[in-house]
Amino acid sequence: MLKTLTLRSILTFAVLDLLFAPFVILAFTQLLGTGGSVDPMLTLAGLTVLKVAAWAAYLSFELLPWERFARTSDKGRTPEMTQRADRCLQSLAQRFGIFYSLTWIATYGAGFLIVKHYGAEGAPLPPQADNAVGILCAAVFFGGFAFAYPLTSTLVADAASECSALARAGGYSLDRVPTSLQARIAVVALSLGLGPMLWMVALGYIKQVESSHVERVTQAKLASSDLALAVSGLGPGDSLNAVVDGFRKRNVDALVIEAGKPRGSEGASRLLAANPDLSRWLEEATAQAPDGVHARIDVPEVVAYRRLAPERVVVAVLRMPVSASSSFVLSSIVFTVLVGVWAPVCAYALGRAVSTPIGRLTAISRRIVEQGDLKEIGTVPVATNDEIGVLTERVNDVLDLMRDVSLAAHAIAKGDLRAVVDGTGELPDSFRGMIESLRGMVQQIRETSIDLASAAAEIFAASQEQEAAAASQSSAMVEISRTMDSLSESAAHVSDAVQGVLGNAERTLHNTDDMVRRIGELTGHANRIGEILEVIRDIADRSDLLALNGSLEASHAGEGGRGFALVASEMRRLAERVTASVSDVKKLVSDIRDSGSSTVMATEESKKLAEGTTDAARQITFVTQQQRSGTEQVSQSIKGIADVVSQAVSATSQTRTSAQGLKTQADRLSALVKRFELTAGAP
Amino acid sequence: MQQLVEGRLAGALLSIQSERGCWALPSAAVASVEAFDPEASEDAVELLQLLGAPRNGDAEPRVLVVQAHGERQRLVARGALKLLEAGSVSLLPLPAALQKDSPLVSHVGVVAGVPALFVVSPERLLSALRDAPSSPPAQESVRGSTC
Repeated sequence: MLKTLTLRSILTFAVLDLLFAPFVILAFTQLLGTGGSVDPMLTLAGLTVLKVAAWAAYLSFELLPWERFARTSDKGRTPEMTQRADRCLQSLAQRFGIFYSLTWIATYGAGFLIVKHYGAEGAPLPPQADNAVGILCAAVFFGGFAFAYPLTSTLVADAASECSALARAGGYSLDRVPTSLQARIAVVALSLGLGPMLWMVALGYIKQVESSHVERVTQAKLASSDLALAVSGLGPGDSLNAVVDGFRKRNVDALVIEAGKPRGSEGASRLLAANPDLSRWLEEATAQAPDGVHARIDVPEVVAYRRLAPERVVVAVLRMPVSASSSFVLSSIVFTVLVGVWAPVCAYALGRAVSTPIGRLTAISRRIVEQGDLKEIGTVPVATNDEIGVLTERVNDVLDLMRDVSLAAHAIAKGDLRAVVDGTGELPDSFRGMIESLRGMVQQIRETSIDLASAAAEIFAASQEQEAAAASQSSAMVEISRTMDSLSESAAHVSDAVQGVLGNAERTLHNTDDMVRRIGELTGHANRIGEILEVIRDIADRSDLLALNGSLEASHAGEGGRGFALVASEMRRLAERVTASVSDVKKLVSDIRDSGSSTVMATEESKKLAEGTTDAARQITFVTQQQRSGTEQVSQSIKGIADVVSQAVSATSQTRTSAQGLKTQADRLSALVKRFELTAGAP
Repeated sequence: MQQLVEGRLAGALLSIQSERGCWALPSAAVASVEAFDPEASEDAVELLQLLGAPRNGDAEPRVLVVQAHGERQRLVARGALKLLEAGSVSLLPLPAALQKDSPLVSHVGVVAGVPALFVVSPERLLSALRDAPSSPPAQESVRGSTC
């Protein structure tokens, strides 16, 4: 139930309100002189409840933008909603303080009017009560404001901080109206000063009135006593008028009532005649007591009587309205003015004591944020050892830390990574960690830059070689393309030639068959010749044998067979020649047969070869055609490859250029990281 | 029989040229030369094998009818037959050292101063055939010279 700011605020003010209300009501009724009457208290209590309801309703209405904001989820909180919520919180303290104070005025003002007009007759109010209540209302206004204004500020502080944090996180401004702490302190101090003081002034004023009432009653009694003495001292011939005139000078109307007949001041007679209640009281009181006084604080006349005889009463009517002392009034006014001046001065001084160092810290913060120049700021002076002094000391510590960090950052910017930041805390630790990481990174970058430069150089050299290789490859591909084109043409020529070969092979095949047939005929003739030669050889052999036998016989015959021996030897020689010729012819025939066989075999081989040639030619033709188409495809592919190689050449050239650029960048990086000093004496 | 006169051939010689040598028979001992007929020459003896020479497979075979002392024998001669005139060959007796190994050879024929042939004695030949008619010695006992 206490989750909402509205409820918390209402409960807080209600508790305090109801806590103070009885005391204020009591003091108020006492002030008015109606302390013994319960009716005014009840009236004021009821009005207090209405007061609480009124300011609670007002507070609820004023906090509606905030409550709407609080109920919205984080995602739904728009900047406009946040600004509306913050606006209502920023002005709430002032507006609610005023409204709250006004409810106090309304409560007690209304209560006074009710009591005044509808109160018991036995509790009359003096005419000055209006003034006193007016002063009292001013007192409760200032007192209520002094109470409500800072309390409301305290209650909404967290909510306003939440709006501020949300706006900062969202990157937008809340456009808050600038306020002055000094002014707020002054207002509260003034309220605190004026409130109680005015209450005391009102109280004193009423008491002054009451005192004057008591005094005039006493004077009236005294006047009645004096009148009784004067009337008792009158002789039978003495005139009462002289006594009446004498008392008239004392603002006392004298009256002697004898046997019910009044004689004396006409004013007093008229007063009695105009007030039947007064006459009745006089008649009853004189019957009961020898003397008495009738005085109402709200009536300017005070009637005092004294009974001289049962039928003779003297009445003194003192015409003296109640009033406050003029000196008191003057003093009150002077004192009020004094407080009105003194309180703001004190408040100003207090505010200055508080706001001046805060203002100084604010200015320093602004300079740090807007200008960022720590050198000009220096050390903030510390005047006291209170919260402000402690805050100033801590700000000085923060400034020192910022200077150290700034110096370290400056050194790092110049390349000196040996900078050291002292101190403990998240910022120094983070900065030290940053320096350490920076050292590591620079070291790594340094090593990497060296490797990078080396790799870039290698890549550059490799890219150059690759570019040259790609260029030569491109040229080779062009040559290959040309070669493929010429190959394609050659394949066409080959195809044509193969066609011719095929024709020739077919003709060769035909001729081979013819040749085989002719060789067969030749072989037949050779066989026939062989047979004839065999016959001749046989004849020659027989002849040789015959001749040999003849020679033998001739040798047997001796000299007589000489001639026969000659014939035989000649015959033998002839037979040998024939045999040799036959052998030669047989050899020739054999050679012819062999040649024929060889020729046939060769012819067969040739035929087979021709057939093979024909088949091969056909296959060659087929293959050549395929080769032509394949060559054309290859030629196209080669052209495509040549294009790709050309692109590769250009890409390689770009790679070389990039490698060169990379090498340049690596050298530049290496030169850059050389600036950093990592350890003492190390580059 | 013709007389063999040392140093000079008294009569003609019928030489048989083989691959490994040249052999000769006095022509007087050769009655005739016939054609070789395998069916009709079953009783013929291989002359060269008889002489211990390898068979001359390529040569045309002839059948020599050799006679001596009234004996006739058919010998198959495989080789070129040639009738050498008397006086063209000088005969030298076979040295005694070789005689044992070549009992059938009686002389060495010298032609143009060069030993060219072995002269076979027909008598020894027929005698050898008579004594051992079944088969000639397996080993070659006489090495002829080239003619």
